[in-house]
Amino acid sequence: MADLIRSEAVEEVTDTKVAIVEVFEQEIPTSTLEHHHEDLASTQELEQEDRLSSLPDDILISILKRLKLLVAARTSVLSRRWRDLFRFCPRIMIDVGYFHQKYKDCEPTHDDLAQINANMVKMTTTMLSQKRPCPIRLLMVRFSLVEESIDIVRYVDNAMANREVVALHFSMHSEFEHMDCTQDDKINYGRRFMRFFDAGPRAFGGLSYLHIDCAVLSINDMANVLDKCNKMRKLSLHGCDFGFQSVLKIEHPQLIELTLSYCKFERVQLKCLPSLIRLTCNIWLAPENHEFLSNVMISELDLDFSCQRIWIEPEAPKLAGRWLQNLQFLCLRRIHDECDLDWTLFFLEAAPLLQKMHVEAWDHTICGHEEDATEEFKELCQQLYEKKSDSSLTWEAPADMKHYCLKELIINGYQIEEKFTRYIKRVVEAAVNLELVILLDKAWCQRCKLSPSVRYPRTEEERLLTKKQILEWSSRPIKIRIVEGVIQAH
Amino acid sequence: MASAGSGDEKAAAAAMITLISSDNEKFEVTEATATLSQTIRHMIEDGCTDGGVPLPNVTSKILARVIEYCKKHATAAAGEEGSSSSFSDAAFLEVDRAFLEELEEFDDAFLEVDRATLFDLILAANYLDIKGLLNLTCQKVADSVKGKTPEQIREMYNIVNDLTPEEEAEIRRETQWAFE
Repeated sequence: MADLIRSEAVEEVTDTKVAIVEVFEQEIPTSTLEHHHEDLASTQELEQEDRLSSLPDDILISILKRLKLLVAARTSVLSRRWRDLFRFCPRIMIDVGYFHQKYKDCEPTHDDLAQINANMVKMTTTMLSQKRPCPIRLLMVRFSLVEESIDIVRYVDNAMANREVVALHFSMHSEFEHMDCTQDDKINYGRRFMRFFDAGPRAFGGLSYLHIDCAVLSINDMANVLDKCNKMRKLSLHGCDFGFQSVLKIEHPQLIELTLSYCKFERVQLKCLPSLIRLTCNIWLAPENHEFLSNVMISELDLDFSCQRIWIEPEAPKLAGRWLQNLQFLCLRRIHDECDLDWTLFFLEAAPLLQKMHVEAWDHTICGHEEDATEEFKELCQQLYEKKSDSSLTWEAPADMKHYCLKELIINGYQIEEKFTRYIKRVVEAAVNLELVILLDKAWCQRCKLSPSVRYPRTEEERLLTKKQILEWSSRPIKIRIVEGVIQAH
Repeated sequence: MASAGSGDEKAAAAAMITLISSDNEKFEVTEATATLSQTIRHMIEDGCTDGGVPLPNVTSKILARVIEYCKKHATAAAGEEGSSSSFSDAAFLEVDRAFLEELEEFDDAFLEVDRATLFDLILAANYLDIKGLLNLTCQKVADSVKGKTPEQIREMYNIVNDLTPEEEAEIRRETQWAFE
């Protein structure tokens, strides 16, 4: 992806240079003319001039690319000059979401949905059926897993075969929220996905991003997809079901980013992912956690615990040693407020190269959101954690532990509380090269507007005291920031 | 390099660039300000800025505005380089946040111009290759088009519809999905 971005940037610069030469050659008479007119203020003639249409193509395209495709496409009827310009944007996003905006306040009917899907096909046809002067640098297609969409896949497949697309992102969605999909829906989505997959070998063989929503897929199907999508850099699976007691094996030479959220499987095996940099788990569904990552070296780890119970095996650092050897950035989100933080020191012991640790303490229960979760989801969580429900989290770091790389510690949801004080003390004492500690308040809950905690140091006095205390534990000066406000996980 | 003058003076003199507008007005700017323009940056790198940089496509009125933009944004760029490269520093420093807000306010105020000036700024930004200014001005035009019917856009920008009714009907058929 980085390479892609870089090469795009280079291309853009080249484009602009060409444009400069054009402007330079063409515009001199115009600007001289303007200069003459300047003293006379703008004449009637100049006021009536169509300055917009006389801008060079690349600038008009640069204006159009800032508009949603639906808005940009409407400019095609302005005049002959504008007819095809909207098609030539370097990035094209064909998004079913455009059509859903109309139904923000009311559910679309069955007919509405059919109309939306038909429009999606027409939009794809318009965008991809004509010859282009230059390839699409990035084509993003986001569509529903419905029968009609097979034509979208075919058009994209054709465009890929004709080398009209440099990078392709495919995002396939369910028509309803994942929680509202029945198992039958998911089976249908899964079948359709596989049909699309078979219908678009060149599209799937060339895409760099794939998102699949709410599909029941077999382990073999998934292996086949991973095998054929060999240029894929990012894979995101949401609400997918791989069957009871399934072991999802992921093996891919190019994959950089893997996101698994609300997926059902017994276990995931990251078999061979030499390029993987980022792994995001929204709902952790792998009880055998040390096997989950047994064969990879990860530099950035992002784990979301959703306030659930966490359990670390006493021997974990030794077992985890290999896959955490290279870990540099760690983000642990939504660790339940009642859960102790000391266990996260395990990462300090297991990851000698860790530079930044971001820990978020969070209590979702206070505003009653957990009641909103569906029964199915609660059961899922229950099932996962019941084995360990009696064991509270205990993991003892060696008292004399030292860490030489950690530079930043960020705590979200900091409180003036023994738990945090003790934790910070341990980190500061262990991380001898620590440079920065940031203590942030709890994030405001968007839905219930629950105010942040009162135990966050708000007055100057409290802050000074907290800072002073932390500095006492450290052998060298550390920058300490106590900032109200939310920081998104890196 | 001049032989007279102290080292400091020399450095200061070397860092100034003279820009000459199409109507022959001269503008002295610092190198940091001037190099926001990639076109000028390349000229400086090639060592062809002695005796000033003639900009035959840019009038003094527009050049003054462009320089105003570059000065403000050059300070911003210097501020960014000055602070630690760590993302958290940039994200957390309240000073940075205030500065970014100020910069946004500046940009908004900067764009309060008539249409003719806006188009002149676009052409100047394109010619001088100042990415930030080009983005800003193109975004302004893009925003002005949002929520408007084709008829309204034509009227706003004096666009003459040279399509025959048949042609227009055909295009509307093709892009019907955009009009629903």
